[in-house]
Amino acid sequence: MEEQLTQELQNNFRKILKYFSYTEDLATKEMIFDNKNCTILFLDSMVNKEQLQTFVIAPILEAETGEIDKVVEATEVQAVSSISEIGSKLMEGCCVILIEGREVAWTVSVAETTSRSIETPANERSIKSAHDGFVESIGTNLLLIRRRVKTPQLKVQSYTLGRQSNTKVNLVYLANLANSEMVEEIKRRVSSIDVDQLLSSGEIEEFIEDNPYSPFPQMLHTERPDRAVSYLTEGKVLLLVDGDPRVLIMPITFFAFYQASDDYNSRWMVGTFFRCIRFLSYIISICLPAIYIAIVSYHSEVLPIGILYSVRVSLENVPFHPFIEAFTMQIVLELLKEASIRLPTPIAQTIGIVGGVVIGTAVVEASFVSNTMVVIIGLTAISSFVAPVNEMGTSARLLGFPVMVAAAVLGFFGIAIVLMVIVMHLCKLETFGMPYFSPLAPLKEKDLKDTLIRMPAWKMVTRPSDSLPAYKKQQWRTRGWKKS
Amino acid sequence: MMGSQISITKFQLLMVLIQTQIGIGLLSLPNVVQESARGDGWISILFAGVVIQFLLIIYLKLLKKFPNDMLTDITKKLLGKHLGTIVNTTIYFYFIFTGSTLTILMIKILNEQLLPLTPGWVVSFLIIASCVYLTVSNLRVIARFFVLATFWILVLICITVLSIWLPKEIQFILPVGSAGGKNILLGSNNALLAMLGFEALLFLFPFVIGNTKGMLKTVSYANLFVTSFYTFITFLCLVTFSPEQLHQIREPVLFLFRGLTYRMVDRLDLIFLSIWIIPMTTSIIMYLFLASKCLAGKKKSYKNAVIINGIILFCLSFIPNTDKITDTLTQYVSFLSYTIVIFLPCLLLLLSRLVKKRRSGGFV
Amino acid sequence: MKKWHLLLYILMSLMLAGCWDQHHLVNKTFVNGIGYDLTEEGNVKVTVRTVNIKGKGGGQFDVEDILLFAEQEMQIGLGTEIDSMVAGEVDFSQAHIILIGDEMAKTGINQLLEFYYRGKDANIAKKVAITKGTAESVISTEIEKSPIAFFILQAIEGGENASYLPDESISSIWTKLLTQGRDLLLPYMEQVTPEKIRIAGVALMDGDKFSGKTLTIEQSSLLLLMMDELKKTSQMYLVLDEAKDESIRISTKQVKRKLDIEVDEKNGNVMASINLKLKIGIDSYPHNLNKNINQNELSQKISRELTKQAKEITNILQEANCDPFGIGLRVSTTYPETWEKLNWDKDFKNVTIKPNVEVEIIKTGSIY
Repeated sequence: MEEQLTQELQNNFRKILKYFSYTEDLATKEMIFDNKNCTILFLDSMVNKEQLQTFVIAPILEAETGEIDKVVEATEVQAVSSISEIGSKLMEGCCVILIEGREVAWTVSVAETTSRSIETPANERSIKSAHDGFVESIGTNLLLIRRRVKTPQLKVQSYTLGRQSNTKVNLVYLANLANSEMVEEIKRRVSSIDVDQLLSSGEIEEFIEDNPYSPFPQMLHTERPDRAVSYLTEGKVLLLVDGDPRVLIMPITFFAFYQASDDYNSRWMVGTFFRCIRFLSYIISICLPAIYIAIVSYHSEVLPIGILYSVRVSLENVPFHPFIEAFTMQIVLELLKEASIRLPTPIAQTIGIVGGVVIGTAVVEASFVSNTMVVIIGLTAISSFVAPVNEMGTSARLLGFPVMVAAAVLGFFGIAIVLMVIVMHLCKLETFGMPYFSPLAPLKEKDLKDTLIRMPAWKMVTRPSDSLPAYKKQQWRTRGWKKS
Repeated sequence: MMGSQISITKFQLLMVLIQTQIGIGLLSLPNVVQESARGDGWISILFAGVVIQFLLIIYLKLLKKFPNDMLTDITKKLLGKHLGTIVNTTIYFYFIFTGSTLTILMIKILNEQLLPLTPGWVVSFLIIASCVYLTVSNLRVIARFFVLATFWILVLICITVLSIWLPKEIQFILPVGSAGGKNILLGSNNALLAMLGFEALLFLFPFVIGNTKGMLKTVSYANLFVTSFYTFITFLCLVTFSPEQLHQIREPVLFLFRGLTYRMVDRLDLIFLSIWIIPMTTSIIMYLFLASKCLAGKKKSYKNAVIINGIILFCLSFIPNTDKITDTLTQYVSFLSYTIVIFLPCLLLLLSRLVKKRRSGGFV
Repeated sequence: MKKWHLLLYILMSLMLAGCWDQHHLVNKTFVNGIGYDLTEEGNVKVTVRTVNIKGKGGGQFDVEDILLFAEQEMQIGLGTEIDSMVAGEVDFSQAHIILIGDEMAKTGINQLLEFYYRGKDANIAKKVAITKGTAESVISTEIEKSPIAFFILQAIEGGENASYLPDESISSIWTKLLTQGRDLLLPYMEQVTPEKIRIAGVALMDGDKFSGKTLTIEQSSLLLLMMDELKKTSQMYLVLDEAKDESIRISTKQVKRKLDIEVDEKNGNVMASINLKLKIGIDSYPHNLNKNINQNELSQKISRELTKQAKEITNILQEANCDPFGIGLRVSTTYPETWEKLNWDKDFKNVTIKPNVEVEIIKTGSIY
C-alpha cells in the first residue's frame, strides 16, 4: 500500500515532492557519491544549516565513497524506505539522502532547535524553590525531568497525535511505582484520540478527563519541573505535549491544587500555616458573598447591634438587591481582570488604578453599591487569587455564583444545600478511578499529613496513596542519627 | 459496572451508622423524653442505648449466619419466597415512611425556624433532589460523604460546648431516679425512636470489608457515640431549662443556643440549625438508600429505584405538616419500626436456629 | 441530556418565583427598647423606641431614636399597632431592653414576655427591668448622644459585671418563672430628673409578680454574694461605727457559700442556714490612718456588720415572699414528701433563715 522508494532517483524525488504538495521550502542539494547521483533533501526551515554542512555535506564530499551511515558524522542516522516515513522524518527536521539506484534513503537528524531559554514560570512564581520552568520544547522538558529523577525506572511513552499537527506527546511515569492499571487506562484514553490538530495540553485534558461537566479541574497543569517531579514520585503520570510549556499531571486530588513548592522549603509550621490560610481562602471565596447576602436579606437577627447598624447605614440609599450588587461587582472584577491580563504591564497598571480606585470609590459614593459589599467582594477576590494554581481559584469564584443565587433565594438553607451538593459532588468525583477528594473522602488518616497541614518532612514516611502507588514507603532513614 | 465489588470499611460503617442515627430526632429529644421521664430523661436515653446494644448483638448473630446477604435476602431464605416478599414489602414501606416522616419533620422545622413563608415543596424538592444526587451513586460514595459529614457533627459539638455558659441548675434533675422505673422506660421508648437508624446495619453488613471479625466493636462504638452524644445534649437541656419550661419548648436544643449572644454573632440557633441540615439530610439519604436497595434487591435497577423512591418521597412530603398529622405519622412509623427493628430480626434469628437444628438433625 | 434541561427549567422557575422569606435589612425599622405600662383604665400601654439611622457619608452615622406609643386592652394587639406607625417592617429582634412599669409588673410579667419566647425572630438574650413609676417615663428620658435603650443596657450590664445586679436575660427569666421554689430578682430603674435615670437596686419578684419591695444596690451586692453569684469582684462600703465615723470600702474577691437546709419532717419546719465565707480586699479605710490595721479585729467587725445586714435582707425577702436562693427548689428535690405538704407561697415566710458571714482579709492595698 504505502509508497516505497524505487531505484530511480528522479522518480523518488518527484514522489517526495508530491507528498509535500510541491512546497517551496523543500530544498535539495545535488552531489556525486560513489560515482552515483545523490540528492540531499531537507525542509529549509527545519534544519540547522551549519550542522548540515559540517556533519553531512562535508563528510560526503570528502569521503566520496563508502557506506552512508558510516560516512555521515551525525548521531542519528537511519535508513528508511517508505515515502511517508521520509516525510515524517523531514518534518522532524532531518535531512534525507537519496542515492541513485538505492531503494533506501538515509535520514540524518540535523534539526534546528530554537527554543526559549529556561526561565522562571511567570504564573507559578515561588520564593524558596527552584527557579527553572518548562519550555515549549518537549525535549528540553524531558531533560528537566530526567535531571531530577535519575532512575532507569523513568519510562517515557511517546505518541504522535493530530492528523495535521502530528504533535509529539510523551507520557512519563515511574515504571516501578505508578499503578499499572491506571497507566494502562491513561494509555488507552490517550491513544484513542484522533483529531486534526492538537496544540495544547488543555485540549488533551478535555479529551481524556472523566467528568467534563464538573466545575473542578481534574488534572493539574504546571510549568514547574520540581512540582511535576514531586508528583511523579508519588506514582502519578505526567503528560508532556510538544509546544506547550505546561505539563499535565494525572490523576490528581483536590488538595494538590493547594500545595505549593514553597511549603516544603519553609519550616513545617510556616508551611502548615499557609496551607490553612489557603483553605480558608477557598471557603471564603465560595461562601462569603453568599453569607452576606443571606444575612442582609434574610437573617439579620444573627448580627449583633454594633455590626448591624453599620451594615444598615451602608445599605441606606442603595437601590439594588444585595444579590444584584454582589453579582455586578463580581462581574466588574472579572472584567478588570480580563482587561488587564493581556495588556502590557504599564497599561494594565493604569487599568488597575482606574478600576480599583476610581470605580471602587465612585460606585460607593454614587450609592450604587454599598460599602460593605465592596469590602466583601474585595475580600472574596483576594481569597480566590490565593490558590497556588490559578484554575482552582477561578473555579472557586465560579462556584460562588450558584451559592450566591441560593442564598438570595433561600437564605442560610440555600447555602447549606448548595454547599452540601458541592461536597457530595467532590465525593463522587473520580479521576482515572482514583477518588478526587482523597484523603478526606475516603478518609485516609495517614495521608492527611500533607494536605490541610504539612507535617515535618521526616514524618512523611509513606507517600500519599490516592493514586495507589505500587509501594508506599518513601523514606527509610531520615533522622536516624538521633537514635545512636 | 462494579456493582458487586462495592464495599466499605469498618470505619466508614461506623460513620454511616452514626450519621443515620443522628438527625432530626435530637432537636426535640429532650422535650420528648422529659414528657414521661421528667428529670431522669438522660437515664432513659442511656437505657435506650443499652437496648440498642442488645439489638445490635442480635443483628450480628443473625447476620453472621448470612454474611453475604441483606435482610431482604435473609427473609426470603428463611420465610420462603411468598411470605418473604410480603415481609420485604413491609420493610420497604417502613423505610419509605420513615424517610418521608423525616423529610416532613425537617421541612416543618425549617418552616418554623428559618423560612416561614417558603412553600414546603421547594424545600422538599431541594432536599430530596440533593439526596437523590448522592444516592444514585454507590454505597462507597455515600459512605465517603457520611464520613465528611461526621466532621460537621464535631463542629456542632464544639458549638454545643458554648451553651455551658448559660446558667445551669443541677437541682432540676435531682433526685436521680425520682421519675420511677416505668416512666424512665416510657422515656426510653421515645428516645429509641429518635435513635433509629441502626437498623441500616441489616443492609450494610454484606458490604463491609472483613465482616467476619470485629464487627461488634464497630457497631458498639457507633452506639456508644450516639448514646453519649444524645445523653450529653439532653443532660444540658435538662439542667438549663426548668421542667415546666422544657415541657413547653418544641425544640429545646435550639433554645440552648438562642439565649447566647456574642460580640460577633447573635442567634446561634439559626447557625446551628443551618449546620444541622446536613445530619438531617444524611438520615434521609440513608433511608432512601435502604428503600432503594429493598426495591432493587440484587438486580441492577438500583439507579431507577432511587429515582422512583425519590419521587415517592417528594410526593409524600406534600402531606400537610400540621402537628396533628405529623404526630399520627410518627405513631405509625414507631409502630412499624418496632415490628421491623425489634420483632423481625428476633424472629428471623429464632427461625435460623430452628432451621439449622432441623437440618443438622436431618443429616445425622 | 433532556433530564438536565428539565432540571434547569425547574431551577429557573424556582428562582423567578423565589425569595419568599426575604426581609430586606433596609426596610426594617429596629426597635431597641420597649416599655410596658398599665394605664389607669386597666389598659396596656406600650412605649417603643425605634432607631432611625442616618448615614452621614464616609461611614459616619447618626443614630436618632423615635418614641412611639400604643395603647390596647391586651398586650396582643400592640405589635400590629406599632407596625402601622413606622415605615417598613418593625423588627423586634434587636430590642435589647424591656422595661416594665411597677404597676404592670404587679399584675405579672410572664404574659408580657410570652411573645418573646414563642416568636421565631425574638432574641431571648434581652434584658428586662422593672421601673419605679411608669416605664414610659424612663424610656422617654432624653439623654444626649447615645439612645436611651443603649444607655440602660450598658448600665445593666455594668451592674451585672460589678455583681450588684443579677445576670438575667429573657431566657433565664423564663426558666426561673417556671421553676417552683425559686424566685427572680430584676433590675430596678428610676428616673431621677427628666434627663437622668439610674439603677435604684433590684426588684424582688414573687413568682411572676412584682412584690413591691426592693433592695438598694448595697444590699443587692450582699444578696448576690449570698446567692453565690459573684462575677469578678463586688464592691461594698460599710459603716462600722457611726459614732466614731468609722467606715470601710471593701471588694470581695472570692466567695464560698454553703446553703444548708434542714427539714423537721414532723411539723414541716424548714431551717436554712447560709454560711458565707468571703475573701476580701480593703479598698479604702480612712479610719485610724496612723496605725496599721489589726486584721483580725477588723475582719470580725466586718463579719458582724455583714451578718447583721444579711439578716435584714433575708427579712425583707421573706416579707416580699421572694426566694432567690432556691430554698424551695432544694426542699422539693431533697425532701419531696415534705414538699408535697407545704404551701410554699405561705410557708416561705415561716422558714428560718440564718445567715452567717465570715470575712478574711487577703489584701490591704499598698499600705498596711
